[in-house]
Amino acid sequence: MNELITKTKQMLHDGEVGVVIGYERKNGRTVATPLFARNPEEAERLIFDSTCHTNLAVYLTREDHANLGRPAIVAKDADMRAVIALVQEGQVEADGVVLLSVSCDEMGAANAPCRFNGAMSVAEAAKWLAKKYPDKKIAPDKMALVDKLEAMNERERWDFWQNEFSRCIRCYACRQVCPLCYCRQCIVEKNQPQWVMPGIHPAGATAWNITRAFHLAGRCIDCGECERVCPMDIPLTALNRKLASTVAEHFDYAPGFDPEAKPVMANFKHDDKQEFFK
Amino acid sequence: MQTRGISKKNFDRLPEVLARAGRTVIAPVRNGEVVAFAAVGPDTAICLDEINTRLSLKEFFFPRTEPLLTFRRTENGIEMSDPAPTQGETIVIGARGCDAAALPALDALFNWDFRDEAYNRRRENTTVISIACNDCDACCFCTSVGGSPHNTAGSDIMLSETRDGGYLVEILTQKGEALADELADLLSEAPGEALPYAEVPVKFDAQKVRRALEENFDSPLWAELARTCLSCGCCTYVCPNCHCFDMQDEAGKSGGARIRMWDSCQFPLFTKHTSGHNPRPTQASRWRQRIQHKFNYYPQKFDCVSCVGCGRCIRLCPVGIDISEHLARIENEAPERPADHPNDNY
Repeated sequence: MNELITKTKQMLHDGEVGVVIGYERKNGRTVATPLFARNPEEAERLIFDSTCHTNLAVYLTREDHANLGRPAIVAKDADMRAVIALVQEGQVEADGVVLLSVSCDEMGAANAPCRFNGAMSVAEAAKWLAKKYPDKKIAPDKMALVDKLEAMNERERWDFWQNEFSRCIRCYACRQVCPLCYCRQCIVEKNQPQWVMPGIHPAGATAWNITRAFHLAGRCIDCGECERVCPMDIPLTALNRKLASTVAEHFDYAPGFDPEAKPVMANFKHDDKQEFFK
Repeated sequence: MQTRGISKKNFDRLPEVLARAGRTVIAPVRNGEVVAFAAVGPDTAICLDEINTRLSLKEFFFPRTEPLLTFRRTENGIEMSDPAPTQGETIVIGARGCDAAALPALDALFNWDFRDEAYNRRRENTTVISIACNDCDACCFCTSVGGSPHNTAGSDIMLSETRDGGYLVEILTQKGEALADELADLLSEAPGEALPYAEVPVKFDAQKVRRALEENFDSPLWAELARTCLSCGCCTYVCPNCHCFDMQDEAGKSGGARIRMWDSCQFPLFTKHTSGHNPRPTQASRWRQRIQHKFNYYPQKFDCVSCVGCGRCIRLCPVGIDISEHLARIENEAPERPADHPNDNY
């Protein structure tokens, strides 16, 4: 990743950006941790390998980081989709961020080949993604659990999710790592009146997890971070992927590919299917 | 203190031998990738494969959610009642020494300005059989907070694995003795030799950290340490010592309950006033609170840190924050207070 470090140092040196958000390895740890490099010396610590999971786009909408100057972020394909989705939703200015595109052949696998694809603007990232993912679909192997759940009857599906949600401790790690969960006040924090049951029990956890998934319908860019960080191993991406496939089927839309496209939930077309009006 | 031995075969029979009507036996159980404490039946396999369970022991004393009172609408008005006790006699098998050591620290809190009846009832009804550690990982730091892989604090009986695959049984309390009497047929008088305990490196000096914390409430270091933190509550909920809670009403048309449930100082809502003002508006101020509370305020009040070094917060942090690394930095990088500092007299 020497090219990544060289490019980063040059950008920081030239003042093109104020901070580069990437990854570093702390001693003895198996998973990389985020690094905020603000000068060329700090940039020496940058790494990119198959343990660099965090979707760093999450930091772009944080108020605490607004004073660090124009950011560049080290971004895998899904992370670039997150930035584009944030541009689509008016949360990030297209020229307000530089993307340092990286790829890994197999995330999580030891010594998987990784590469730096160069610095990209949001428009260049969109072209890169359009070429690489022409059909914008979720890969079939990622739909395995969704398919298994579809084959169940309603009762079995309910029991499956009740068992999963019974472990939820409502730590909201799923929400906090999600770049698209940028609401200043989440609905579970609205307590006058209380909209979502606050208790850490299956009913409250069900209400929370369903609410989270629905609010990400047509917005989730499938980075999988919610599921990876869940301390209780709840298979959260199955909910998001089901909703993403429904949106794709009905509205021929996937978020995070075209920075000019209106978000599906903020758009209306005369030929939208309307069979759900009964 | 008495010592006995137990063979691996007899250890595996504990859930079966201990099963009684009205008694709950809790032990680490594997469910897919997750090893967690759960009630076990006579046939359940205890899983001691992991260095530590996903969640700590605390929820069996301080549950995720519990009703404080229930209420319902009747023809004669609102009727309120105390919830029935939820936990009778309980035996925990296979807690690590760090988890058990968190219990005396929690006792201090739950008997401080208010005696928490529900918590104390569960403590009195529970006997803890813990197990010493022969392995540790990069996240363990019990030796930095006054513990060790063979920390007997909070345990009634402690087991140490022996060279013959069984366990050395140390009987530490009266509750432990009563249980050992019940299990007399399974125990031998001649225990095997214990395997060497894990060597857990010391990562910081808790006394020096405390002094540095007293002197550095305001420091630019806090913003730097908290920079990558995303303010979820994972570290606080997996922590055996964190004990903050919220109280709310959950009600339907005909009635409901006033519940107490875990809450986290890392959530912005935790300190938000009804006026809208928030005294901890930034993640730096919230992260400072977590560290100050555990390593400065708690020792001031109760003479012990509110951390047992189990390492769960490090293992499970979504962005890999390592509190032991932060504490070492506070010890080494936080500026010392000048001798004439105005706060010297407080």
